[in-house]
Amino acid sequence: MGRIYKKPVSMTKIAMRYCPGCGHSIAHRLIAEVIDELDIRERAVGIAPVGCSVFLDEYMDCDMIQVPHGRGCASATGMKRVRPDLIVFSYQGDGDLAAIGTAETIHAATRSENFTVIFINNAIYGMTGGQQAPTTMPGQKTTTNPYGREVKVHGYPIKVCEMLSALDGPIYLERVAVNNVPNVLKAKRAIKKAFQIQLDGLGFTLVEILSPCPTGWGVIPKKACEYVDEKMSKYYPLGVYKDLTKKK
Amino acid sequence: MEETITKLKAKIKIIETLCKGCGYCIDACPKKILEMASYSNQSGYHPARCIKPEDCIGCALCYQVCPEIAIEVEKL
Amino acid sequence: MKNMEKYKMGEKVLMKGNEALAEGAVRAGCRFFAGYPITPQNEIPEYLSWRIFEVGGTFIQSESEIAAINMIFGVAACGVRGMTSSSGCGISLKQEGISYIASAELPFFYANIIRGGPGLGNIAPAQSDYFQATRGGGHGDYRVIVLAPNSVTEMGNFPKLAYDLADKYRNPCMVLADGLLGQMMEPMEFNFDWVDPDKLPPKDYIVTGCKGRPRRIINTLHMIPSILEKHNWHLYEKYQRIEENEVRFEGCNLEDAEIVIVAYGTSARISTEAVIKGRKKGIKVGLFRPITLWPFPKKAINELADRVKKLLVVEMNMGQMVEDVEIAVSGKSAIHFLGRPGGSLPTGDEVLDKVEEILSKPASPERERGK
Ligand SMILES: Cc1ncc(C[n+]2csc(CCOP(=O)(O)OP(=O)(O)O)c2C)c(N)n1
Ligand code: SF4
Repeated sequence: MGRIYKKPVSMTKIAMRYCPGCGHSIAHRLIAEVIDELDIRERAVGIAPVGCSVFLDEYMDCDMIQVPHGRGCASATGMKRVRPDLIVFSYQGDGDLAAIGTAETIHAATRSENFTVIFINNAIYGMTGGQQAPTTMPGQKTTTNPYGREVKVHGYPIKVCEMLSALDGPIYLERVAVNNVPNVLKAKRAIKKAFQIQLDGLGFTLVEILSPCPTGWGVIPKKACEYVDEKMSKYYPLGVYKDLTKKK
Repeated sequence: MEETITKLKAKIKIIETLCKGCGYCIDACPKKILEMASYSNQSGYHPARCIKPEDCIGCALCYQVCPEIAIEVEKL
Repeated sequence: MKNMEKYKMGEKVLMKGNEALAEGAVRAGCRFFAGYPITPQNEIPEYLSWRIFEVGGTFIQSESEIAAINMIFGVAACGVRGMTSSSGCGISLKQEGISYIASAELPFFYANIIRGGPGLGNIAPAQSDYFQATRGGGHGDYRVIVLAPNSVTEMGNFPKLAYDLADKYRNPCMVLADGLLGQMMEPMEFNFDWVDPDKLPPKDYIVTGCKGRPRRIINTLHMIPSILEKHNWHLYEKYQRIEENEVRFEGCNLEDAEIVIVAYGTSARISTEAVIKGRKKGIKVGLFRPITLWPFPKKAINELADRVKKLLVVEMNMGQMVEDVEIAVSGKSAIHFLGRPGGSLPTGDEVLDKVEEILSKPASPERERGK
């Protein structure tokens, strides 16, 4: 009768080593819950990026591979092309996906490769110590923007969902956040939808998750969640950017 | 004598060793029954604790925002 | 199932080197190709762009060489025989991925149809990527098995050898050729039976979903130095086994030779001409041709140096393999060098002139630099 909320089956017992209040761990749990609910753990292969979430392969209790920085979408393409029966997801940070791996991302999207990308936008390079990311917002301070990102010097941030929505290939693009309860629940619905689209064989899906990085932003976790609402989601509006499921 | 024990709606368990004290659950709880402990766990964080488990309604909102999956909730 | 085999084993066919390599790969069970156009290897992707679909495989013209190699990483991780090919700068771009795959100990096959370098260089045949190939090529301490064909027949048959070695040792294996071998046409024949990829032995290290078994992880990150050190020593042991068991070379007219030319690939072909002409003139010249460039036939060359006091290394570069020959000979014989970098080819007469010049002088222990 009653429901039990506890660690999903698709996660290992290993305790996650993220900073206090980091959004990565919430995103991990949501993916695992979706894998449990869709009952695809035994067909799933996850791709861990280079970044704070490089240890994703320790936390997910399914087959995992860790690939070079930025190349998740290329490796996922190879896997899915030779084993279309697998459920492949590529988990990537913003430096990984939108700087060093921009080409791989765009081309996998435009080929509409049938896998799911979970894209963590925390506007910073977490793992290497809080440097500027392609998603760092104008004025935002990082360890390589000590006075705040100056667009005349560093250019403008990349809005991944908006950019990819200009392509014909992607089937489903949504931007969500994991900074409060309603957003977490919406994020899970988006992830589940993306995986379902892959199960249905329709094509490329990407869920962008605005994710607090209290350490990189130099604020306490609570303030980091407020920052997602007050600053990030103003610059990166939440919502569905593309959904071709109805047309197909 | 009338029955005075009200039926528990839910069971909440906080795995203090996993908690990193971010405080997300404290803000998320609609019943405001979670708080930061004054002591610290073995990692040096003040863990969240439930001060009135009997008031828990099992909404699991704390579970939803807990990055460490340090909270388990069972709705009875 | 319809017959997918295009040529019978042993059947003589006229083929271009690059096409023979591509057909050979398909014949050896390759079912995925990803690559990015670059001359002089374009016949490989062009051929596979239709041929691989005939056998139920997939071809992707990737957005870059970096994407191609990482697609192959995924394909190898799923246990499928995948392949990529490139040249010069394209192979440089692939090195990060090759290093990851070598560390993850996944088998795959790739070809470098070398062009002149450095930089954009040119598209003429060269052997300037010997160091890159035989030292691993990318970052970190690793090796890839390097096969150097010198004919269209070998171009067609080495993919099978490469896949078998790659599977046997769970290691990348490459063919190192050049534009001349890639683009010339000559009669060739396949010397192996059609490989049905479904009948290859199963691999217990690939990621294909954890149904009915514990999950698997393919990972190249080892944060604890002692664990990475252990992994490095494990790779080292494997490389030692490869050095012990997989050295391949060929000799011609070695028995009575006073001077031996050491050359591989195209330069070996050219040197063969010098040997034939030299023998006609009564010159006791032989040819030693390494077929595996890594593992390098160190021992065989060392033994050769016991008998032959003059060696001439011929390369289409400024002198790369000559360093391995020096190590192998360890001072026992004089080593001479004839190099033509930049996409220029030495002629058979040029090689023979050099042979005669060396024979006219007493053996000196110093290696002569330059042309
Ligand atoms: C080719 C290469 N360049 C640079 C690095 C170093 N590096 C590791 S993580 C990282 C940044 C990751 O940032 P992001 O993708 O935003 O993920 P986050 O850590 O913020 O989760 C970089 C630059 C690398 N590992 N490989
Ligand atoms: S640095 Fe940021 S992204 Fe990385 S673990 Fe810490 S909070 Fe998370």
